[in-house]
Amino acid sequence: MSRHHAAAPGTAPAAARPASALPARGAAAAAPRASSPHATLPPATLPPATLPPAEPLPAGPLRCAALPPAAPARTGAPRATAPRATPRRAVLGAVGLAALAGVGGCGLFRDDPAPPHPLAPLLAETDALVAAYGRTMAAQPALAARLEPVHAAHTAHAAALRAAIGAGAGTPAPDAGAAAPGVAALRRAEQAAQRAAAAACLSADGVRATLLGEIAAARATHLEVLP
Amino acid sequence: MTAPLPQQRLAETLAGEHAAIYAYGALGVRLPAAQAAVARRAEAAHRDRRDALLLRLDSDGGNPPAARPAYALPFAVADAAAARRLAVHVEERTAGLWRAALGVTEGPARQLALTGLTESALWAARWRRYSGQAPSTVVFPGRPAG
Repeated sequence: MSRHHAAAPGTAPAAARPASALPARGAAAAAPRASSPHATLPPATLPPATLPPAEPLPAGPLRCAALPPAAPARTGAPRATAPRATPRRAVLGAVGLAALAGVGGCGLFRDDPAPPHPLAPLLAETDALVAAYGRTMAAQPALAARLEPVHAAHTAHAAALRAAIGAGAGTPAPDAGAAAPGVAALRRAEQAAQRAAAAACLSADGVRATLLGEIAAARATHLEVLP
Repeated sequence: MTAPLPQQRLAETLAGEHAAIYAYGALGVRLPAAQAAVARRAEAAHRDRRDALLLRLDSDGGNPPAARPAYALPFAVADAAAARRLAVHVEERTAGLWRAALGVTEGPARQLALTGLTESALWAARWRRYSGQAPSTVVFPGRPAG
């Protein structure tokens, strides 16, 4: 991991040692302090944006090899004593229900892919950021050194999201021939992606909320690195 | 009786915010004027987070820890470079506390934790930049090293 270690040697990791656990020294050590005006800060969390809508389930063919043909049911002997319409409707309805229930163990959506993972839109957006930064770095080598840490962060975020999604995570779409975005476009994409990650963090379960919060916070810092 | 996990985590985070506010008082006096002004803004941000935490813990019936008169600093702050290093250390530590609160909270408390993590990540990046560290950003803010 490319995490920085800015803390002095011998200091505990951040989360491991709550500040109150530190022994208090004499109050005389406190330096006189100026009053702190509550300056306005740039909003760290932006209003939650809606995530890009999930892709609709592909309308695949509802094939079912074990389904008996409907025709034989209709070729039964005509019944003379009952009105014709009702039994036929009942038979056809029974065939239909059997098809829905999955005759012979054949599931209705057996041939369809699983529905998209909730993190799939965020992964796709992250892959797009990786590609966009890559194109800009290639087109503007003077910016490459500055953008490289951000590019690397998005790459690591995409890998983490892929690991969280597990099997079925999509692969990034090839972007050959796409134009390199300028810095302003990168900034807009980064802002949108920051809002998306924050919104996803707020609605995620506990395990995913941590990763999504890290990603949202990282993207906020990227906005300050962009020229 | 032990407090539920979300309140425990938020109480630990509040203790960290108390310590951060103390640390900024100690380090701000070592910085040149322009950076001292930055330190005052960062300290104000921590006071805002502290107040929000106090409100949250009060409304949840928790028992928020009080600030101590003083805290032991992890290293001596003899000059501006050490002051910036301490600022980075403080922000990384509070980022870690807020991050640990993310996974055990929901609703407004998680929003509070996300704001806290994001702000600490931003201030840590700014102090790394003032310290001349490159890159100034980290891949997973708040995540413990290793």
